[in-house]
Amino acid sequence: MELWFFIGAAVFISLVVVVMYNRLVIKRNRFQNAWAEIDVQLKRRHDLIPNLVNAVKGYMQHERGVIEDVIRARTQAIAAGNDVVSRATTENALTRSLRSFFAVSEAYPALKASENMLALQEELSSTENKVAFARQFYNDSVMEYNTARETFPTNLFANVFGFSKATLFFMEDTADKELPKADF
Amino acid sequence: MDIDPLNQKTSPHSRDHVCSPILGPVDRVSFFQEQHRRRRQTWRLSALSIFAILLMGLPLAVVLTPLVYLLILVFVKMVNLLIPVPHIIYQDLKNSAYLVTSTIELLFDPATRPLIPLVSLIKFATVMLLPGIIVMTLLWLGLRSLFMHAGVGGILLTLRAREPRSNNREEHQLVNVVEEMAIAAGIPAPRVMVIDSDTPNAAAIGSSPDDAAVIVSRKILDEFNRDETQGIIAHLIGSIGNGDLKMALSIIVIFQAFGVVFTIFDAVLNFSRTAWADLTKMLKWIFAGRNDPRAADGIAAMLTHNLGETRDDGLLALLKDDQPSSSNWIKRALKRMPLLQAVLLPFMLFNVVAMMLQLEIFLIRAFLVGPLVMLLWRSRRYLADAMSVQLTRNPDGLSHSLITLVEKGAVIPGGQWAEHLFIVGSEAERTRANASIQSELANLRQKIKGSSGMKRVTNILTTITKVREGNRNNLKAAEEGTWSGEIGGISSHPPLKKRLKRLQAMGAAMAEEKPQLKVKQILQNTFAILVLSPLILFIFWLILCAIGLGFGLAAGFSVFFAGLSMRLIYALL
Repeated sequence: MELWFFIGAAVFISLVVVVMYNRLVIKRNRFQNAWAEIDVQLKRRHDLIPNLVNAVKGYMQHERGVIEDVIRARTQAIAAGNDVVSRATTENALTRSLRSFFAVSEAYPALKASENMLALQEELSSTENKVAFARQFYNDSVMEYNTARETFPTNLFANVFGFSKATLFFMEDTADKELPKADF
Repeated sequence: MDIDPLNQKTSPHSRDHVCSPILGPVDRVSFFQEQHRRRRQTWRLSALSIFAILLMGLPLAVVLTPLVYLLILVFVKMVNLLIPVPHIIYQDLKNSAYLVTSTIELLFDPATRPLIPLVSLIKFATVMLLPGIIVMTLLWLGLRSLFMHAGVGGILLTLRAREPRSNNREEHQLVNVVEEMAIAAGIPAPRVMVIDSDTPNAAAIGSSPDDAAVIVSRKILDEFNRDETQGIIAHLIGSIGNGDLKMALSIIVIFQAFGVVFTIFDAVLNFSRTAWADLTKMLKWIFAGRNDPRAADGIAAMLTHNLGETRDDGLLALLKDDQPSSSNWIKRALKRMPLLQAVLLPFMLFNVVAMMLQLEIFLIRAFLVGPLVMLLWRSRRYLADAMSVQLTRNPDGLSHSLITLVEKGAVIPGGQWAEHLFIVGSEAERTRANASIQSELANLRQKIKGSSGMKRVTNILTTITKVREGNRNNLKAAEEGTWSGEIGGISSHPPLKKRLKRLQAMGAAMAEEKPQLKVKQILQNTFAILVLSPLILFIFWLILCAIGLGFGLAAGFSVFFAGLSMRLIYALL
């Protein structure tokens, strides 16, 4: 009688462990996939910028500085490779240069009205949104994975199976953290 | 974080609106807490729904069992003609049939009822219920996979949905919004379709996240700004990602499985020609017509309708002599050979049992299963609202769009069958009807300030009746053919006021309004509740008795029928 009890308990515990392991695997794959998705959107942004430069070349001939900033930031972002910190820095630099580019382009009404530029603006803003949402999804998945990994029954087995804590995507960007100077 | 250089539309935040915001303090919750709460609610309601559906289906399972037995017997005898079947199988069938008949005899005799051992009761229950349950489950699974593979073509055609034009700025922006939300949710981007309709509404259709489509009315693109559209799309994509499409399909298919069984009963054992026509239609669809996108929806509607239909060209209709459309060939055959009546008597008995079953299924569906399923669907709507807040991190988008949709949203004509998949359904129409009653009454109060007693009451009543009549046609058109009209008694969407309240709890900003409820009104409401509560309790008691009576009658009839048929089968073995 007792033998059946132990066998039953062993089967039950192994089932529970299998379920926990599968849950962790699913969540880990999800956040790793989300990381790759951020990559895809960043590359898409790189690809859109040459079109942007071509579209504005005729209109914004006096703003060479801003345009060249954008081109330079793009080259650096492409060259950054896979190191997370340098990727983050270069991508942030690109975002900043794009933002000042759009701010400057507000002063050119002919440019603003051109269909080409409007479509491109929509595409670029949509890409910025997609990068942001991809990061958001990555962070949400990482949070789910870490929570699943650290809650009670699962945390006993997580390290044994080799599931380590994942890091959230946050960017230590001193330039972004500086308060904008208000100069009236 | 959302850059929208083209955002030129203002939000309706400060306008006068039909649905007034909620007063009083609201406990702030995070969207994760709200999601957790709604998921637990879904589990509870699912368990209750499954229990109610079992209650609905058990008498039917009992009736199906002897029919399954008969089929097995016929099959075994036919196999016996080719290969001699070992005697054990016959012995097993005989034993189960004997068990059923003997237990029923013991049950019906009050002296022997307490003496039946528990083991044999369990065996009896298994033999009686299991074949029927297995048949119903297989039917459910089969229909589900059929409808899943049928795809969404039908309803897209009915609604005349089209692809978004790539040269139109708004529609291109819509495609971008859908892609953004799909990335935020981690699902593949669903197809986007646009309807050129005057009613603003949006739906998510399909049978799984890989096969889904999002339909948006052109009016939404014209009137809503990017944030609001994003809120709506995030709701739809959240609901796709949560598996709501599969859940809706599973629930609908349950009723269709019941419909199939009743259609077969009507065709084979009630000799109804219309039932045969329906069956041939269905078989044609299964084997030949799956390429026709509209056929699936037609079959689905027909099956759900057949669940409650009493045919007027079957055997039982002959009992009512005033039916000109009843089956003439049966009447003629009976006139020629009066002895045929004796042969047809067991069929008539069976059809009486089937009518009892239909009554029971109607009662339990109308009072138990319907409301539970609708409440279950409502909890998924709340969950999708919370998903929208998670995906956009902006509760204001969805709340602004809901405020506008209260005033203008309605079911898109032709889309009633999928009403539960839209973001607002017929409850918007109902809210507007109630609001118009309130405003009419407010106007009236000014006019009749002077008049006294009886005249005042009659004025109020006539105004209410006039407004109700005016709104009735709109409401009827909105609710006819919808899921909530066919299956549930209550609407499939939560009241918009409650949705706004949950969004406010998650952080949406609502305009403050001065309190409208005066102390006198509160006291009047409490008094009404105190006076009416015995009446309400009595009505609940009546409903419970009706359900119990229906279930008891159906169960009794089906057990009696099963016992009789098993005895026959035992004799045949």
